[in-house]
Amino acid sequence: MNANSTYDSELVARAVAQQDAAAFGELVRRHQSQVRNFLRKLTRDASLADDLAQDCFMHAWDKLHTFVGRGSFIGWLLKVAYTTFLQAKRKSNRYGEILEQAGHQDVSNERQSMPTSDEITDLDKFLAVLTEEERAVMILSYACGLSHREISETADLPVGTVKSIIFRGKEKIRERFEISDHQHG
Amino acid sequence: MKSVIINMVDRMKDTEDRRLESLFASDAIPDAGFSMRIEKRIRRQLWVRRLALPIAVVIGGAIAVKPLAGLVTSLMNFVSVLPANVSSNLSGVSALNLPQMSTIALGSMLVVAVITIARLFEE
Repeated sequence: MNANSTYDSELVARAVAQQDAAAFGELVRRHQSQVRNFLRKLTRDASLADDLAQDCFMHAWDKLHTFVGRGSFIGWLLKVAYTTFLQAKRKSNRYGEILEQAGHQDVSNERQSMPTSDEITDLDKFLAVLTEEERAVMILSYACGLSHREISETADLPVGTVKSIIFRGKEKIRERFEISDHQHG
Repeated sequence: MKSVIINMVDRMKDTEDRRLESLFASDAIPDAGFSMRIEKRIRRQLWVRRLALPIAVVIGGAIAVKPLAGLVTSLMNFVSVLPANVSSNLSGVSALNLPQMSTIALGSMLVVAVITIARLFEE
């Protein structure tokens, strides 16, 4: 455990024991960038991601007493973020279904607007060929730098499944974009 | 020969991983008041939670005060019109009408169950 995570634990303890909003605010300041980046890559929509990040931190505040300091705080926070994302997606799917049944267009999809063609980056192209689960695991691994064990805790998957998802994701990217050619060239 | 192949595979994997890491890398997002907004929402939530019970008590009290006063007044009127000998025997009658131990226990369990369910709903 490094000094930073020890300090995180101290802030968590203060926030839980004294209902200290300032201590939690400091935790938000430290980790907001990573959480928002994770959600932005996952949703590919900056404003939606920021809304989800706010919800994520509010959920984290409510569930802070369940953080027992077994892993890193950012790992726990990303788990909350991923759960928030999945819950929002489930809700928006249900909302879309209700609207479809009522004969309306699926407005929930309109909100998750994709970037315009000139804004599409290599990463967008790569993420587009992955399933949602593969995308989450790849982002947690390569963008957030979590270990396989941490990803397994965050995404609620066995470590073996995490490894095979990463392998499969890399294979897909390799097949579609011929990365191996670039790296050997 | 075998070890050379394994090393090459490891090196390829590392190169690919590094390339993916650089592809997934992004600049830090500036806070720009984000954490302040969260902090404000939390402080507001704390105040709402702190005030909820006293406000509920005050509102409940305000609603209950009139019927309660009416009940006390009618009870007092009732006792005052009773004949003296009935009033003296009233303690014996009321003892018979007191709730039994089993009723009290059942009522207590019901109260505990209601509180637990209410807390579950709140969570």
